[in-house]
Amino acid sequence: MIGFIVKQAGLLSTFQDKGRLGYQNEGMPISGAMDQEAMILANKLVGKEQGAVLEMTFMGATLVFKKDMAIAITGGDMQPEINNKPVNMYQTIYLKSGDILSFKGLISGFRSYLAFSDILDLDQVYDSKSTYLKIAAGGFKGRKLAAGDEIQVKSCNLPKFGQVVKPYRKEAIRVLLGYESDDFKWPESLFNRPYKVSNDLDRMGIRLEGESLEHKESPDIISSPIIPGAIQVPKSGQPMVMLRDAQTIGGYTRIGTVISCDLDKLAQKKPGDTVIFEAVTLEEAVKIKKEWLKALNEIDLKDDRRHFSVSISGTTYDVYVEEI
Amino acid sequence: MKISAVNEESILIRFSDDISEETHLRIKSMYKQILNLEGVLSAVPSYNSIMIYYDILKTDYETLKGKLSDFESVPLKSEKKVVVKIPVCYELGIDLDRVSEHTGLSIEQVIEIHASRDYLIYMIGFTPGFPYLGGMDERLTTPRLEVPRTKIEAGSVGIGGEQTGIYPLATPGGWNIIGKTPIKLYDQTHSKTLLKMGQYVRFVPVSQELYRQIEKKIEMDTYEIEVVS
Repeated sequence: MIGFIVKQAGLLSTFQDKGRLGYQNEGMPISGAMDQEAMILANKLVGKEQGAVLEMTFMGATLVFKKDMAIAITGGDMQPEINNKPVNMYQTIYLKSGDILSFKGLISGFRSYLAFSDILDLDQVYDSKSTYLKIAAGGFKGRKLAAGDEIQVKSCNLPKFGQVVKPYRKEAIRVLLGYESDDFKWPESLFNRPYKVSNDLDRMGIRLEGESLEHKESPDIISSPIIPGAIQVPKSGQPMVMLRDAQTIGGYTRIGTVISCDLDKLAQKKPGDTVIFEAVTLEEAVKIKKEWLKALNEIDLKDDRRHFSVSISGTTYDVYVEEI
Repeated sequence: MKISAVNEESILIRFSDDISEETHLRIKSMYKQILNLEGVLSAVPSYNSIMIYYDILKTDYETLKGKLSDFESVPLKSEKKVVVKIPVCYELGIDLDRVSEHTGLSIEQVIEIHASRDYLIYMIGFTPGFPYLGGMDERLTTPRLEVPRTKIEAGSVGIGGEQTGIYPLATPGGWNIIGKTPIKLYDQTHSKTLLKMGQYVRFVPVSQELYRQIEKKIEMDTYEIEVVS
């Protein structure tokens, strides 16, 4: 059955999930939600441990819902509205058939995430529903949403209400200096000074402008595997951070790698924003990741409301009662 | 062999600083063993290194490093050579003249030399299904186009400098196109890649007519790719 119809698609709206780790030997990028934390929280708020969410970039989509379901919106703030009335992010929102979700405009971050309580009927490629545009794989027909698209869903029970506080994120982007940092004259030049996000950014990577990083010799290496987070430095000396859609093999020297949690922060950077790198050790990076996993696991979906189903003349109504 | 932490959940093992069949065999043998290690989620072999992704809740850098160091002493097993035959219609090579002119060889010679040997697949990557092939005859070396084309059709077989390869997808590219194969290196319909690292590719010249026949069979899902070992 139709879950919702796309009235306006936004700039770049694609379905993403945790990604397809495990097929990089075949040349498949990992892909997946650029801001994984935002995706995980949105899913939790609609009662799911995982599932595909809609990733909207810079500009939100307008969706007309064709059935009742719950949604949650996280990540960058695009000022979501239901039927032209503002709604809160980071909480469960119950929609009725006919409701229209729209976004007034971006005021923070760069990418917004929308999770659904129903299961969306999407293409699964290599164990993931993430859209990878370059080969038109996964998600909705392997492409970004367009006006008129109808998304089919499988009904699920409505989740109970929940809300979370948007997690605090330390501003600096933490980097483990790399195995190839010796190839640079002054690798520490990368740290503690501002780099500007250029206009050249997409799901594959982000080019930065700032202090030039000088190679001792050639910037080219024998092509070898790279991962999301790798900071490649071509001849220009301007760093380029690879993101979730990074190709599996690269040919430039890598000065270091952004720790995995901080890729989420880069996902919310837009052209003109500032990036400041900070050095961490492997031990620190492991500790940060473990704490992050633990915090997400133990997250408390605060529920102050009580839910009743009331039947009146054969029609069932969901009623929520909360103290005010 | 050098083992380094890339981030908190990946490791890069680097072997020699050059491209050789010997290094390739070591990587191939080690890659298979790595996939069986506890906590390993993904591994990517390449010319002279292997990237490993692992689950930090199941293992850690020091544990993996220890196990990987033990692998080094494991002797190489020689394996059967697997050759995947790729039919190529050289008549569809729009840059054959350019290659012929640059190399001083006749078009017939270019085709004959190109199709006369088996090319080792050192790694797959860059785009899904793209094989990095080794060992092209030096006589065929031709510089890339000065201005890359904005679109090269999928299946195009080309020469770029000292390398030869096949474009799995329609992408921009600067290689000299010397032929075309109807075989899909990345099959969009079934979402799968064809070639594997360690196999060999043999280009088999076919006429335009045969090319069309194979193309039709592939469309109908009745073409069987010839693999010899």
